[in-house]
Amino acid sequence: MRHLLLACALVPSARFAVAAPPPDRTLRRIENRVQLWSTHADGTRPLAARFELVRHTALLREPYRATGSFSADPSGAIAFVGDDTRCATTRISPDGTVSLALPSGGTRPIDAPSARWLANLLRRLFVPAEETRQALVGNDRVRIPSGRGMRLEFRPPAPEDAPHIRAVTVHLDPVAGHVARIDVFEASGDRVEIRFHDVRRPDPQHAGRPDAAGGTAR
Amino acid sequence: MWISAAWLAACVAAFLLGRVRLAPSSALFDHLPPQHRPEPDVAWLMVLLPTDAASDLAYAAEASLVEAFDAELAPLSPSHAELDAFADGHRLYFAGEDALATLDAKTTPRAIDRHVDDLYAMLGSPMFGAIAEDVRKDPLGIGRTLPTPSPWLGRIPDVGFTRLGNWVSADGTKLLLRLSSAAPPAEIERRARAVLEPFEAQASVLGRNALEAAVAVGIGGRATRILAIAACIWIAATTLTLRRARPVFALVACLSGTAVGLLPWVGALDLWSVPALLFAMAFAAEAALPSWRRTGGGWTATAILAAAPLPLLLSSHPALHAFALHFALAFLVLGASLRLVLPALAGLAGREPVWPRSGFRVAPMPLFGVLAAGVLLAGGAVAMRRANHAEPDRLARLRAPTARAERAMATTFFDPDRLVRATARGASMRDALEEARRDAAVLERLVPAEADALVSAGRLVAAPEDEARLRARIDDLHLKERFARLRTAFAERGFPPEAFGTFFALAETAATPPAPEAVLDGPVGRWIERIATVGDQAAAIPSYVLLSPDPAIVPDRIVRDDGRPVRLEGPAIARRTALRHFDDWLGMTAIASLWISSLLVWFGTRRLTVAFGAAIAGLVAQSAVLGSLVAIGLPLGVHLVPALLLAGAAAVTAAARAIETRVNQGRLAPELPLMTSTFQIGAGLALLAGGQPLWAHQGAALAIGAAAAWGVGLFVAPGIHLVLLRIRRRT
Repeated sequence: MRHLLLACALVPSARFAVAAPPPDRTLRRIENRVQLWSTHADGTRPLAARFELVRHTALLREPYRATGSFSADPSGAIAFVGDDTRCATTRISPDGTVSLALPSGGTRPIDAPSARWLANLLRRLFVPAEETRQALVGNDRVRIPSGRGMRLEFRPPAPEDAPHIRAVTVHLDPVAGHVARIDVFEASGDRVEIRFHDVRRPDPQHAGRPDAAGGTAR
Repeated sequence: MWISAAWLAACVAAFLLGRVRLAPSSALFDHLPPQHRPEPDVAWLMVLLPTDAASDLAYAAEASLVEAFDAELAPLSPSHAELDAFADGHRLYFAGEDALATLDAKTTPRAIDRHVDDLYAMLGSPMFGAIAEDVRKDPLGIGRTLPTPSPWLGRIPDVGFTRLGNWVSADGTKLLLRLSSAAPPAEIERRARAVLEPFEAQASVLGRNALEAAVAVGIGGRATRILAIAACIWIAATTLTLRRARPVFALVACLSGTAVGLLPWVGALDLWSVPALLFAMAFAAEAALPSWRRTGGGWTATAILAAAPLPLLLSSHPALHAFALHFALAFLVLGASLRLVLPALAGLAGREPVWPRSGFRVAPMPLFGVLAAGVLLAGGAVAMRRANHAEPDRLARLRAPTARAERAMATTFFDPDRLVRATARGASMRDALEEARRDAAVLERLVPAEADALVSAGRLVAAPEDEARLRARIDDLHLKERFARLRTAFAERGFPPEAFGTFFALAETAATPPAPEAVLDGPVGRWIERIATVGDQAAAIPSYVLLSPDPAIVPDRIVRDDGRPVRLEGPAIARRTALRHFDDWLGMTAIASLWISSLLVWFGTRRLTVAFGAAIAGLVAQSAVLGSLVAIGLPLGVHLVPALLLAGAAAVTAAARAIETRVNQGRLAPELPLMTSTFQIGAGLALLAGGQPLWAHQGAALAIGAAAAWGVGLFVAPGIHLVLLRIRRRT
């Protein structure tokens, strides 16, 4: 009788042990990418890089191409400075405001939810407050897109948070962990590819101006 | 016996013949002139979402409601899509001189080249997507410099329009939709609740029909309760006075039976007819006393009381006209029935009342009378200055089921009473819209000093006199050539022409003047049809003005440039105009009533000093009532004026009786003041206990007035009369 009772107790326990869900593979893969990103992320040091931007847009017959210098400051300031004067300079100030410096000499502020969301994402990627998953992901919806490579796809929490942007895919360098490429998929159907290379963290004591490098917009 | 039977048959027949008129209604807005009452078929659908609702829940709920009520929606703004489409078609027409100068500067060849360079450079920013849509529609940024036409001028603080043209609160938890529907409010609410079930939201329907229905609920029960309470008080108090129960029962039965027969003929079962009937019962009761117990109780007192409210016929409040007529009719019929039928009924009851006392002498107190009159008159004057004011309809719905939703709407959005209208009429929609344009041109001057906002379809229509001038100015800009230059500049930078096709298409039509026909046939035409009223040979398009919250602001006479007046109609106009002139109107009405009363006293007594003394007594009693009402914190309003006039008339009759008794060296029967004041105070207390705030205020005024009337009549009036006599002798 005692054995029978013991068997009755053990059988359901064994069933639970067998039926326990497997570890969330997606979550593990996201954690892997966050860990890889954190090896290079350091919000206390400035970051400088060269960038290559390609915009596939219905506004032009051919894709728009530009090169330039990218810089991110621990204060939160970020700049995309085109090599050519025919490319606007994009500046994200420490308080999150976005403005474009135009060839005509004017400045166009962009006060739109989509711009604010994208600026916030760029600051989390390049000058995070801390190198944790929460600091990188924030409130966004994150998933791993299909295909190869260490990639993360970010989507705004709600459509109205960034109505003009569908998703942003971030490609991490599989060895160094830095952001190697960003693809912005816009709601209008346009797509922007930004490739980063020569990524370095200059010593703040001797950091030169990041927009010194040459390049052309084609 | 046969008199009693005939009376009973008459009462039953009168009730049965008139019972079809007895459907409970509230007559909630009957004190307002008909043109100033809220629009009958307009319903405000107020939606309360959970406070922790997601930010987009309000818009999802709104979309569901708009789908369900599409045919009945009458929003006070076109949807964003309709307005944008309209603006794109006519934007240049609404540009002022400054905007046209900016447009001129932005379309010079040099400026075009610079814009296109900048536009090309912006493509190199990852942020360009956030502004791409704006750039595609308006690559030169012209739209930012041109005003967007809107039927609205001014705005409501902390309230925004949704994209569909309805209102949403700043925190996104409340929605307000305007419907035009003749459906019963309960039916609208049921449909809305069914739609909102998935959103866990609550719906409330406001508007004239809904408020009237809410106040009418239970009005029959309340009237019955009041009558029962009054009957109990009357029986208890009168039994103590007459020391016989049966005659008292006969008296109350006679009064009640006649009142039931009269009820269908003195208005429906509503807010005004019930107190009118109860007042009439209370004042008619003295006819139950035998004539030898009623000093001066002949036709004079009856005529004074019946005529006292007649000056109300000259007021601008239809409910008061009805009150005056219904009271007079009921008072005379009840008095007649008491004199004709009560002896027969009392005979059936068996025993006669006991009249134990022969009466008391009236002692004049000149010094006290003058001093008391002075103090009470001064108190009344001070009270008038310090009084708060209340509207009868607002009092009546203080405890209505809609009260909470009303408060929420007023605090979150606006008080719908402030939304007044100016209706433009014409033989066709086109003519009405043209009239609305002319109205809007002058109504705009009210914003922001006297009104928070104006909404008028007329603001979207071109003025013919401006059309040619603007057309010439736009032609001066040579926009066609400049836009051709812009096309070339785009092509040189690699932009395909179709990329900005929308912009170029709109640029060609943007200078089209919005004539009435074009507006009606265009994107906002459907919105105008929703708020308009169209008949076979006539159309009416209202413009709405949201008056400032300050109740002292009443727009002066508004005259259009062509000399025709624009009439603003709505509850706020009637209320504020009445409030502005309330003191003057009350004074004139009271004096007119007292003049009629004193004239009748003079006819009855042929003594000028008696008539004059009685009139002063009436004025003193009215001052006492006013002072007492303000002292206990009750706000004044038109609903209290009948009680005030009747208090004055009662004081005049009491004073005339007391003075006559003193002059004739006679004795005043104590049953007279006891019985009349008992009935009047009893009626007042019954109204106080009736559960309807409006009636409670009227009841308080009646009870105070009854006490004041005999108090002044017995203790103040004889002294004043003596002083008047002395003055007369000296002069």
